[in-house]
Amino acid sequence: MLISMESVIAQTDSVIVIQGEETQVAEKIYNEGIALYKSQKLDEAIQKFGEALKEDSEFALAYLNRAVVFIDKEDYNSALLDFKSYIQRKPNDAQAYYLRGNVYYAMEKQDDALLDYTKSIQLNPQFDNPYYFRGVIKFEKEQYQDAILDFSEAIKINPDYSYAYNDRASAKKMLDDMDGAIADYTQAIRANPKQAFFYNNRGSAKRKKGDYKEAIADYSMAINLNSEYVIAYNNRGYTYFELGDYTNAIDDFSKAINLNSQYAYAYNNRGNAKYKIKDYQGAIADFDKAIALDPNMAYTFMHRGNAKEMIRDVKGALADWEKAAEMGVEAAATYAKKSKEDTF
Amino acid sequence: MNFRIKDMKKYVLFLIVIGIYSSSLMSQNVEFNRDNFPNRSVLREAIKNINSGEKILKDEYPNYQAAQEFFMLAYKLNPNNADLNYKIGYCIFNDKTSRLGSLPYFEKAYKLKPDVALDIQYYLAQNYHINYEFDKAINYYRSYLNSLSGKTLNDSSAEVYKKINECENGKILIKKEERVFIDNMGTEINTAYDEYGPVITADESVLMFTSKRPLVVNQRPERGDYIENVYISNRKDKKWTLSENIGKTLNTDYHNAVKALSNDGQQLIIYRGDNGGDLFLSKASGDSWSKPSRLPKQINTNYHEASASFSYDGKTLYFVSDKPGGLGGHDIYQTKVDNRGNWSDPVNLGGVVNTPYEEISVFAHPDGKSLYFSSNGHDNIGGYDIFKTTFENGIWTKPVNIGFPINTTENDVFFVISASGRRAYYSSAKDGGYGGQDIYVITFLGPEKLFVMNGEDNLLANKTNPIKEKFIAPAVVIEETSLTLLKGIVVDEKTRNPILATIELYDNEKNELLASFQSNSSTGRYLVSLPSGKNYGIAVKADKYLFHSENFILPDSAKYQEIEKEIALKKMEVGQRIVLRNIFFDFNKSSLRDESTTELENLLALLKENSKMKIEISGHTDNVGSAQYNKKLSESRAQSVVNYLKSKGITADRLSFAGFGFDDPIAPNDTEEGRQLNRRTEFKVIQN
Repeated sequence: MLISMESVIAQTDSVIVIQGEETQVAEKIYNEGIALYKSQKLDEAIQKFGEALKEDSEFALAYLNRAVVFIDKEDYNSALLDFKSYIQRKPNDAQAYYLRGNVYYAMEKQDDALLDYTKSIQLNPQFDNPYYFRGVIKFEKEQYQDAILDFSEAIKINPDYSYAYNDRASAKKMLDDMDGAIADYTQAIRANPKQAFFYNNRGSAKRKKGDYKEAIADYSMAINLNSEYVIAYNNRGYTYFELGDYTNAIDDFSKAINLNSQYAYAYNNRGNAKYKIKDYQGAIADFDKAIALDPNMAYTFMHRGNAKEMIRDVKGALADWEKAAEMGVEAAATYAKKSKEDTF
Repeated sequence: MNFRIKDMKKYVLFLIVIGIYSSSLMSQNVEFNRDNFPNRSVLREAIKNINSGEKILKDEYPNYQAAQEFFMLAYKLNPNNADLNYKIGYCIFNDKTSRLGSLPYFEKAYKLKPDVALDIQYYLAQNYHINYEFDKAINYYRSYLNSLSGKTLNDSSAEVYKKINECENGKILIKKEERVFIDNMGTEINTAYDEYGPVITADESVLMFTSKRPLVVNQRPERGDYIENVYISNRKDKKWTLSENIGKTLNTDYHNAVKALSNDGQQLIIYRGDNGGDLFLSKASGDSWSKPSRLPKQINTNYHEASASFSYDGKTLYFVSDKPGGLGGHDIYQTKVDNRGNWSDPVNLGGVVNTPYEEISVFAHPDGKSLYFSSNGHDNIGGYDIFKTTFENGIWTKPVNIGFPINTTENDVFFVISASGRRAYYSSAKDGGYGGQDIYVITFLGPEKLFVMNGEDNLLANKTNPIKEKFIAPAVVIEETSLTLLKGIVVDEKTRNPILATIELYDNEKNELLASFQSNSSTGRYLVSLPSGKNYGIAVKADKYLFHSENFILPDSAKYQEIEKEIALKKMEVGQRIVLRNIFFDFNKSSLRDESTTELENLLALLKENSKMKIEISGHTDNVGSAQYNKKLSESRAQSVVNYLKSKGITADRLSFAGFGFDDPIAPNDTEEGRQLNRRTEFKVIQN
């Protein structure tokens, strides 16, 4: 999770209410627990919270914060139990529902997460995070319009919510609204100019629009911010390819491969670029590599067939096209058919 | 040492003067004179060689290579003479073997002395033109024109402007390189001598061409060149057989060049130099060829008839002639032959196809509408280029240059393309062959293949793993020629011997005989091209045999296919049954459709020619529907045919009819193909 749990701890830290003597003891232990957590001593913190609860079983905050520590340890089941205990005692705490929603999300229980985020929003309509994460789930369910609505709410509450801008942009991109996507990526950048992937994403939207030079500028910016940003090299190479600048394309794909020697996509792409400069053997070698890394790359079989045709390997080309056709590539089926029809 | 500024200036000036002097020495024209070559005998020898070379150049048909040899001897002594460099360039360029070899000499001549010859810039321009350096060529063409005036300018400007235009065309064409393989056909076909003018059968099973190779080893050429002869090669086991001389019937002691081969390979057209250049027709007779007969006066004139091609149905002949009355130079004409073998007056194809320049060769594609020809007009890029035009809606479309690298800046002339459109054949003298002109095969690779790029992005901020871009590649459409090639063997059903048969091709909708071909008497082989867009009836006839019926309904959109079909003819004997594939009825009805007329007429003719023959017409159906219904329908359909024959004068006692419903299938009824075969009308010989 990218949203830090520390903020929760800090908040709860500031709302300690002193009740009776029992509570005072529990509180003391609880504060020790907080201190242990801050020093990264998670197991000891959990123990302390447990001890605090022994002193005062109604000390709700202890449940809440122990749940948070369980989350850090990725012991989601234990966290759920503690959230349940907390919510029983504090049923109107929007943040608790939000945090529990995150746990469900981490456990890939999207629908449960959705319910909790919605509850959180009901309790506190000015809470931005649950809107954001609800939007994320809707995005993942491919409900892009609904996702946009939620991201927009998050942004209304927090006009500098860069992640919400980014994700809203992405949802617009999925709906082919490139201009809308670019505008939102730009807002994300405004809110956080050092985030490399905002530039990468905006670059891809520009590329889809056909603004290749602008796309390259964005990818370059992303790379400047993160010199090991593999997918940005690949995307920039892709854009050079679209421009017909195969030399630079090959260069970028090679850079991606140098950073990640298992990056099948970059091998496929570099193979395509090599084909374009008539380095057919080189192209075939790259396609071989891509397929070895990922035998499900149907299009790459077709590409390899295309290259084999150019070195007069008729049988090899046909075999590759047939393989791609089997995997559902219609164009390859056409190529194979034409090849077989010619019995000359 | 004290070095004053004044000395410095003098020193620098001195250096500059030395510099200018030595660079002028390096680009200075060195004349053949005593000052430059004090050794008298050496100088005299050089001048003698130059004079010998110049003498050869004054001949009517100069031997450029021989002249060049003399000049090169003088060149050894003095490589820096502008005039000599020019002369050497001139020899190489005009010898035409490898014209670009002249460029260094012309460049040097020009550098040494820009006014060495009036046309030095023209030669430079032509070299750059041939070498695809179009911008440079254009500059030199323009510069050349600027250097001319008066009559020379008037005489030259049209030609030079044309060449500038060719360069402009070239710049455009180079950018759209066609995806082709161009391969030399190898030593089965090509030799160190000239091979050119390839022609093929529609299915590429036979190749013929003209060659100027010696007939026997060590034969000496006459008058600088060997005799033109016709050679043939066959396609066997995916290879071409070693080409051989087609034989004395066609190859006489004089020049014989093959110009056209019919789609089925049963007719060819030879060119001979008689009478200014005439065309002769020869027909296959089994394994041999008939003595070529001169095509009639409508076609052959006292002028130069240089190329010809048959249309798909054999009824139109396209040919090239420079007779007067055309649009300039050689033009393409067409003439049609009627059923009695008479040719019509040729008609010029008109100003869309023909130009004031030369249209020098022609090829009609078996699709019945495309015409390929070579011309040095239209938007050529240099020399002759090959163009394509299509006959649509009664007119020829604007010819299109078929593109680079098939068309080059030099002559691209004899071009034929297979029925499938997959391969074409042409001849070229380009570098890298076996010598002289060679025959090349072009393989068309079609439009660029599809390539899909893979990209992914961090679309969701809180997710580490990027999300892949989804992309579904479109289907691709590959253009094809629109025709069906039907080919095979005609044999006797019992003996399996090949038969010389007539194959008649009908348009069932128009009730029109489109064409008539013959199978080969030795092999029985036949080939018919069926352009898409017709309902074809085919009747195969031979003496003493019942005719064989085939039907092909080809919509306009029908794509290229090759169908190999053996046709087994049945003797006229009692008990023989023939399926009539071109009898059509309306759905569920027994009324004959008009498209059946031709078949009915053929049946009628058979009965009239064989007056003792009695036949039974039977109707048959598939197994869809009840037995009773199908019996009734098939019977009334058979009756319709009988009624037609009666109405045309065949007496009732010769005709009987029966309906068999689905009782007598000839194919399984579990596929639509099978069911269609079962839905048929037959006739059976009851008495002969």
